Amino acid sequence: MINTGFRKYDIESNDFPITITASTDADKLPDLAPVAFLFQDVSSGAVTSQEETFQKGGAKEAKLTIKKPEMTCNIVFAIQVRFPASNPTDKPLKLEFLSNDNQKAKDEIPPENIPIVFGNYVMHSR
Amino acid sequence: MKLALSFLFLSTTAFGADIAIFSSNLSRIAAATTPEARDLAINQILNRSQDIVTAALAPSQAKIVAQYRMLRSDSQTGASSDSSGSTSLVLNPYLADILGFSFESGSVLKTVSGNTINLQIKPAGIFCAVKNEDGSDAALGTGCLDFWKRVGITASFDKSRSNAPSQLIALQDDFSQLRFHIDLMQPSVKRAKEEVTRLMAAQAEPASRVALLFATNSALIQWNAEARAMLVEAAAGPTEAAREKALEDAWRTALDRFSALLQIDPGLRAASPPLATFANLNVETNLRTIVLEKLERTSLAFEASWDRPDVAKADVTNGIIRKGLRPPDLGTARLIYSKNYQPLVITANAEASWFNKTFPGMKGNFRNWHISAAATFLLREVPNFGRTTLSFGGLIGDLHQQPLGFDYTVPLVSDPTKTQKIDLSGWIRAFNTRLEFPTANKSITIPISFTYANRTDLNKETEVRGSIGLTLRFDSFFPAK
Repeated sequence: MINTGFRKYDIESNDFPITITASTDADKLPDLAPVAFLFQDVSSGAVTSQEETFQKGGAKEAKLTIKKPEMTCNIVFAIQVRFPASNPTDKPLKLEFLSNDNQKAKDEIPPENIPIVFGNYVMHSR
Repeated sequence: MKLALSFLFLSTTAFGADIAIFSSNLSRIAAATTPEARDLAINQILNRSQDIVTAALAPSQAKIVAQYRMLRSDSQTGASSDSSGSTSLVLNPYLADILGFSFESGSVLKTVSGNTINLQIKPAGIFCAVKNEDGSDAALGTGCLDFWKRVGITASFDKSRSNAPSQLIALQDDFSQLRFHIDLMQPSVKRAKEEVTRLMAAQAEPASRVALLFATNSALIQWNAEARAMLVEAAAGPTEAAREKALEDAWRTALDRFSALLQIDPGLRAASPPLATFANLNVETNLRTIVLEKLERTSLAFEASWDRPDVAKADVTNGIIRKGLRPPDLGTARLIYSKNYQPLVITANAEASWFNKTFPGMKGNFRNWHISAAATFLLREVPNFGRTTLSFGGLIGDLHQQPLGFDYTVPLVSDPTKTQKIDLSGWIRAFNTRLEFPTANKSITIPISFTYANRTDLNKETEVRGSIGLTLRFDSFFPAK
């Protein structure tokens, strides 16, 4: 898994499963909606969808796993975060992407002046 | 995070997009001190595909505010329980955004029952609505005089008291009460409820499809590159303020181009309906979140009121006061608390009153105290009408001395040449049930209430009373853009 740009990654089959860990330095983890992963078959262009839910691991952490798709796919998904009003503006949602071969990538989704904030991610299959 | 309704107030028009929801992003770009920080902030704003779509296709501020006002069930438009006409034993903490009017017939705790007209204004709400010729600007969080929107003034007129047929007193003046209201607390925010969770889940896949569209559509990829170039150029200004202004202009232009692109690009035109559906869903999710957060909270307001007492215009048999003799005015301090546990709202009031002067024989200035509480149940929401509410309230208090400040004496039946003093001080207890029917998205409501009280202010006999009213919140009657 190689970071190729802002929220863009190149992925290979041995990266799966990819674990996304969401955490915060605020008092409470923001609400995280289920994530709809769109798998785009690189040969046919067909798109299929699969929904996964973050599993809480305490008050400040949640994890979600991207399983290995059946065919070679690009993966596009939006992480939807509801920041409570009490969330300090300087305490973003921290994300860590960990591939099966132990490659890591980090990102942050900062609170904006609306409650629901999206982070959009594109993973290109190599 | 500053929660403000304004961030959702997005222009519905294709051009002149509102950039309020991106202000924190633009500020980060303007404040960036290194190229890396600037590029990160630009990446973040361009990554907000769903909000870009929402800004281009969302409903108008006026529509959102109308929905917001309909969802609120904590407004107080009617008169207080010490008016001749009232349906409220317990007051709610929030006044109408601009102007409220009520007409209520039948008293709750006052012996002389009558009709009361209650006028309510929020000066800041009027100013904001008139200034921009947009009634929706009077709502909290639009960025116009938001602090002063906490302040409201209410005047009550007891329309029937100048000709009240009471044996106790005859009356001559309609103006009865002036209330000054201020919201004290912007309370802590509680967790969102299942509805927001459901809406967030519902838009999970549409959101990913928006992300996919932005990642794969060539016109949008080109738009993204052009928008980036515009932001980079705008971020090169000499001062932070200049950069912020240039960034706002550049981003507005970029969003306008995006809106135009949705209309002229054949590939995007086909995607436009689902994008519009997503935009509406995203607005609703944000709106429900905000409304829930605003409603599911502990609220506290303070009111100070000046009450003008009834004045005798003629001597009446067994009247408490003689013609022309004026009882002292009353000052009242009141705390109003509410906690919203939708679909239940708990409201509590605590108040105390003082005479503004004393007469011989009075036990000081202090007149009375009482505390009251109500449980309001929000019943089913009827589209375009609003939610009917059903309240059960109770009050307990103590009249520390004679209610008008004067001793009340009546001739003895056995010897009319002698008089005896009637003590009207003592405990007061009341129970009230109130049903409020809404219509016109809650702009107009019809409250009906029934009250059982062990006594009224001037009479120590048990009373069971019914009262009815009509309340109008003129917020939605103001023109909106």
